[in-house]
Amino acid sequence: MREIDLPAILLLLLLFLGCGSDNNPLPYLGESEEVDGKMQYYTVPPWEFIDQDSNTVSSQTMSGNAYIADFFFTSCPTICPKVKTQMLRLRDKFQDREDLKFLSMSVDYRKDSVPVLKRYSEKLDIQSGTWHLVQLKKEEINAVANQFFNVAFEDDSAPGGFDHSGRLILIDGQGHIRSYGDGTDPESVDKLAGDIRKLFHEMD
Amino acid sequence: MKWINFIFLILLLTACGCQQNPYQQGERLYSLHCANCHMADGKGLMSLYPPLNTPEFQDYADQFSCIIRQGLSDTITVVQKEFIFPMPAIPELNNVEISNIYNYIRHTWQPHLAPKTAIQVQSELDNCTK
Repeated sequence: MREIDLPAILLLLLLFLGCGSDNNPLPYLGESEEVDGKMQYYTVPPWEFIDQDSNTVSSQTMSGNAYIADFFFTSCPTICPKVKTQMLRLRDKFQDREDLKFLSMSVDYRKDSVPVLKRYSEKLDIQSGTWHLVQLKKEEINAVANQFFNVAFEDDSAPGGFDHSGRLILIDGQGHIRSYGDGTDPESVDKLAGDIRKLFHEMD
Repeated sequence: MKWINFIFLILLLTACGCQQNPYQQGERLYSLHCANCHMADGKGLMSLYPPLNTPEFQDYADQFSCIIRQGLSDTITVVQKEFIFPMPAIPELNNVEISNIYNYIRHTWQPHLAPKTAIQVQSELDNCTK
């Protein structure tokens, strides 16, 4: 009689379960409710900004595209360069996907005007139409950050005068928040890249 | 046999010790004040923040202390790229700390340059143009 190799079976089972969990659909983040038997998921409220090319970009122009949103400012001496490095990595990884866009919102309502954002984008080889850099107004920073499940505020004691998280948010073509990663941590961004693939799988 | 293991361990420890960076404060301060933009490997970030690991570093070596103390708002050219975004001043660093950062950068990427003492840093600071 053949002996049953229990550890090997357990290992296989674990491997199988492990793979299984990775095939789970991407969750919808934020509050959702059922209305007339249909799930209503949290949707980022409508927004409209002017990007580095003086073009209007809005939740409507993004519709149907997935996008990664983050908060930054051009003179940020702390986490921004690291976060931008990770966003560039994501852009390069998915450069064949025209339906993945980027939205970087500057919280420096004083300095980051359209020409400054344009120069910044040129220095990072950021393509127009794919990656939008926009400047928030002073009074909208907190609310917009909240709407994207993020934190950003003016803080004179923070280096550069603003404090904000380095979170990268993944929004789907219908404006639902589907995943996020820590833009200062390459491993977290790898995980986010996996979620972006899942979202594409859903979209295709 | 145990003795051989012991000798091996001592040898290993010595080898690790020799490879250690002698500018530990410089390394810590670099990672705190410089690495966000110039990156841990000194490569900078595309055309936004200049690298510190190329030969052009030498052209700015004499201004190093003044750039740290006062920041930099002039356009500089490194590896044929123009860098226009200003560098903020780091006024809280003293002479010894500036010399330690310089010596860490020099030791890591510019070994042909001479180290700087805190006294040299002071004399550079006394002669900043601004």
